[in-house]
Amino acid sequence: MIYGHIITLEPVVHGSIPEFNAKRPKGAPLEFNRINIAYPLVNEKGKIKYEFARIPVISGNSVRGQGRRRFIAKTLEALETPERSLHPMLVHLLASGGSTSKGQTTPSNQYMYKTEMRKNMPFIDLLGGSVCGMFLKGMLKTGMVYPVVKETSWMLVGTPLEAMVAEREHPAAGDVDSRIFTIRMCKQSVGDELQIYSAGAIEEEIEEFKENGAEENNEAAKIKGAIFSAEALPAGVPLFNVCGVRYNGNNLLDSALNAFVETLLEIGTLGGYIAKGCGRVNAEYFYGDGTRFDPSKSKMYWEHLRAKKNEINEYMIKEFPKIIKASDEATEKEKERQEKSKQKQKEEKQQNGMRG
Amino acid sequence: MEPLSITIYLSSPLIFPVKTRPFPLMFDSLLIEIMSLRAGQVEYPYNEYSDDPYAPETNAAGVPLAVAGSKKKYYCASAMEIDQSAARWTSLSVAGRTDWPDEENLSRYARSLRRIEGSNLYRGALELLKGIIVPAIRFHCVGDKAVIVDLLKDLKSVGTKTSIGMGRVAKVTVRESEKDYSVFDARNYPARPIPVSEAENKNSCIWLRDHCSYKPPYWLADNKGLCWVPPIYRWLPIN
Repeated sequence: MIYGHIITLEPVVHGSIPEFNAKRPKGAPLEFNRINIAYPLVNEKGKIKYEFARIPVISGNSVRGQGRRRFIAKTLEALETPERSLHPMLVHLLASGGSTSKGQTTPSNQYMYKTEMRKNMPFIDLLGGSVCGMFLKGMLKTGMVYPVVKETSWMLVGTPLEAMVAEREHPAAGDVDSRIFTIRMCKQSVGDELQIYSAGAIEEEIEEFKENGAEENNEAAKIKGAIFSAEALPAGVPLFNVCGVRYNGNNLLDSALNAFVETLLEIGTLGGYIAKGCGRVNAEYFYGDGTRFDPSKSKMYWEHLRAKKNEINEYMIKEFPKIIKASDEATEKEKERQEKSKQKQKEEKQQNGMRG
Repeated sequence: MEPLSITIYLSSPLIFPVKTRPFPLMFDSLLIEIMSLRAGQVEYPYNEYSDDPYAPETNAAGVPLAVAGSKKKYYCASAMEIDQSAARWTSLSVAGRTDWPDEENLSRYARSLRRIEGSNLYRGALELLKGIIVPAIRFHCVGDKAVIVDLLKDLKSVGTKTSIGMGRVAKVTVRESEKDYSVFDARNYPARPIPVSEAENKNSCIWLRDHCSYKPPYWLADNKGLCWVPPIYRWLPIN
């Protein structure tokens, strides 16, 4: 396990999705992501009682997604994979985890395909994903980024971060929540001085507005700007994060984990609106024994890629499309089978009807 | 083999599988997952099911749990148990992005690309997850304490969506227990799915029946059968 101690240097924006398709009220800022957790509380009699708290967190999905994209981009560069060579489904699988396609049947030899994928692509073993109805469990565990508050401080007991944060007096989750503020940003229309460079595009847009029923003198038709706002965690908030792999003992996997954490440190940001001056953090990672993160431990992973780049590229370019072909064939067979069974049912119904 | 009581303390919500009916965590499947990972077997060999070394019929892999049952065998390991007063339902949403290929310039590796928003590489995703916030979950089993303690050292998280920080294990305690509650609980209700043919209700309490798996892997349709199932309040918050 690798433990990260993070301090925000800029406001961090990480929007939450309204639950169960509830719509955000018009004009309301994008809410910061929050999660409910249970935490132990020792009462006056010395008994442990569990309470619930709602705390702002950056979801592990966000950290993992950001890290994954950069990690895969670095991996493909190290492999010197030729451009325009990979099947789009493989690019989707590598960089975003793929997707489950409706109506895609799993190939009959899925154990063989999955084992081959893990063996030939160590980055898929680390990150996992789904392709052609097959699910590959990723070995990487990227934890959520929690604030260091009274309600979460118990999670750090027995970790190398315990001593680091012990000197400070932790605020309560409510204190951090009350420090969350709303940042407003404005998307401006193109200024007059720049309009001269456009080839009539802006006039066309105004024409479109008019066609859609906007009045000729309506200012809204001319100004295409928008104001949007979002809740942000302020700068200077201490956070923590834990990354690890499912099991120990696989040196290549451990090295790949180190390479992933190295990538997270390279990114150096959390959440969204990064281009607008948000999300920069200062992160320090430590191993379970308290020693500082050593980027040289990722060397084995990068060397493995360089040494086996021809085999890995050949597998990705030539062998991987065979899995998709096998899945397509299985899907067609399944469709034929379903059609036949439907026709059989129809015939049976007709026969029954005639008898009746 | 001795009766044991295992408590797993969690530091983040326990999430149930997406788009399926929630089912309780089973202690035998937790142990078997760790054992198979240590043996270097990450994927389940669907095509070689008859030789499953972790099946209770043969137990060739040496799962450190007692086996019960005559025709339909199952491990003496309970389903998870929660403290009703300290558990609550929760729900979370997880979203995927659609603009990532251009962000990292990854689309250049794709052989062909239909630049249509919402499809192929540009497909977004939104998952709604349901789970419970619970400080600790308990299991009961009959097994070899030393081996179980060693295996549980590798238990880092439970449930689904563990790769994004859910179901994180903070601490595990294994204690010897005076009574065996691995198959039936203190009130004589089933503590785990038991095949209907393997147990008879001789008590005044009403047992529930359901079509579910009675041995690992619990997701495999082949393992399903008519079973006595633990009461829902054992593993879900009902308040």
